[in-house]
Amino acid sequence: MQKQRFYQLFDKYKAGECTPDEIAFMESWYFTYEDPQNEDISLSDRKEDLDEIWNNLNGVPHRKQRLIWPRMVAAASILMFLSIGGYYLFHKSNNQAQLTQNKMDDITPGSNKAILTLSNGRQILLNNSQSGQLANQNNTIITNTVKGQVVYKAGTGNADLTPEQVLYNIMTTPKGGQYQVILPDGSKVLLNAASSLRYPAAFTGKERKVELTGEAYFEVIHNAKSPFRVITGGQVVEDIGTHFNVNAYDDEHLIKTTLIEGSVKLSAKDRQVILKPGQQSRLNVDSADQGIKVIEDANVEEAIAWKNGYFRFNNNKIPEIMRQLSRWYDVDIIYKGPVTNEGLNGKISRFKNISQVLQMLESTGLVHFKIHGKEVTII
Amino acid sequence: MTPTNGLTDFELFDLLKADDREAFAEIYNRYKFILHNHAYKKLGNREEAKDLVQDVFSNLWTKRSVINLHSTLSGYLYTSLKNDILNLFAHQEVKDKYIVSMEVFSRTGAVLTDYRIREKQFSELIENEILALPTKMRKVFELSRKSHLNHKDIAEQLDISEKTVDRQISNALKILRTKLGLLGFLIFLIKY
Repeated sequence: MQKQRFYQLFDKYKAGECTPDEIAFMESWYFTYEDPQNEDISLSDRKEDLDEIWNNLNGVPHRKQRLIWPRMVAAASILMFLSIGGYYLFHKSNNQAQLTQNKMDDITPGSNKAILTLSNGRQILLNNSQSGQLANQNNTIITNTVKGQVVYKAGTGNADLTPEQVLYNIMTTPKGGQYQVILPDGSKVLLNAASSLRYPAAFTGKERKVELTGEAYFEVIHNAKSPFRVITGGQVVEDIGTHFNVNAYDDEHLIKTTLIEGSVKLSAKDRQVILKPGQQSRLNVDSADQGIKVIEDANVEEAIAWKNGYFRFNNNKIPEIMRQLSRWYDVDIIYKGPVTNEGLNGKISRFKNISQVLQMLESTGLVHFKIHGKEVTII
Repeated sequence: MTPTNGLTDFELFDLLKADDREAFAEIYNRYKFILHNHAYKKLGNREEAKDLVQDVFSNLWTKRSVINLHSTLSGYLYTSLKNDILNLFAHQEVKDKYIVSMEVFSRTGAVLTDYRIREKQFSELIENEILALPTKMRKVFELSRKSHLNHKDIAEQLDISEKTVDRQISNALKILRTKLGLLGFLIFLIKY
């Protein structure tokens, strides 16, 4: 009972709906709270962190990296406004605008970052800067490498674990993050932005089951005795030795599974299809009864462009393109002007700043943008 | 040494409002240790502590034209950090460790209902802890905290080795950390 009340308190706090009494309780508690896991950090580590903060603060206003909670201060970025295409703005510059020009900030692309949640609820922030052993779960050693990759190295006795003993981990990428995990069986999963993968720290028994939300590219090590299964929004993909991409973002309403190599069996409801390389299946989440549609000659390049470091638009509509940009650049999209229904084409590195991607889209003459803080407005 | 060195927080804040980067740097150097120390104590995670301290200062800079100090600059910074940390807690997916601590608190701790008292107590708590440090340790800490001096300069000024400076600051932070936790708790007990 009591516990439930505290959870609700956090929810109310998050929503900004706490009464003054509730805030008083939260803050009074906060003064006494100390993280139970905090270990001493050396002065040199401290100085390193403080220097890093200062470097980030120096020069142009820093691009915020809010990984875990939504950004709340877009309004604060009065000085960071930037207009692309609307070049007349620069001509209107007065003193204030002169000042702001020096502080103008583009939006930088996503990078390797993720949060790893261990079975005990401990969360570890992953990025390029630290490497080394993170944890041990079910005798499996978990290591972060500097390449944006977490490796699970299976330990002895894994096979003897009962299903109840198996510990589950979750890797979550924020908007603007991607990360790779090598599972204990050697299978590789590259997680795109705003996605999460839940998997056991040790594979046992007759199947290797993982659960995905968002998008990931799989390179599965085949094992006929223990098939690899990806569960996602009512669909199961079962590998038969294989490379494939699953795109299952909630806001896309369509689960797209694209096979690059090997063979996979898909099931949803009680229907099954087997995909051949070059084929893509589509399952409409809102009307799963209609079954799985198979595109024979799918645009594989488009489906896995993200993994190769590109955006590839191939007759894509604006809203879909903008959802991709929103996830990778961690921006909010605001629609002010009319949006064309025409599909756009193009290819550009996703490691460029957002302005360059938007410029490419603007060059079609069909759409125009304005960047303001972390908001992209279609004008 | 920079000209901003001897200024009060209020003077620095006025300069900040006039877009003075030097003043911003001085504010950062004055408060970086204490804010980082606090953030790390609450979060137990270097990355998160770094992120939040950075957020507090980047907000200070980007919002400098609209910020009005209700009390002091330090109070503003502590409050911002506290709010950011509580927000992070609220958005954390796993909250079990907070819930456990809340249950203990709801049995033994007392709630300070007036927000001004909370803010004042909180600021005093942090500030007092620096005054409570042993003289030499405090001197090292304040030289580092209140000026641009690096450890080598401090060592020269106080005629001690650089290693000693490192150790002193490290000890100072350690004491701050343990004391703050315990003291914070004691004050609640004494007050009510």
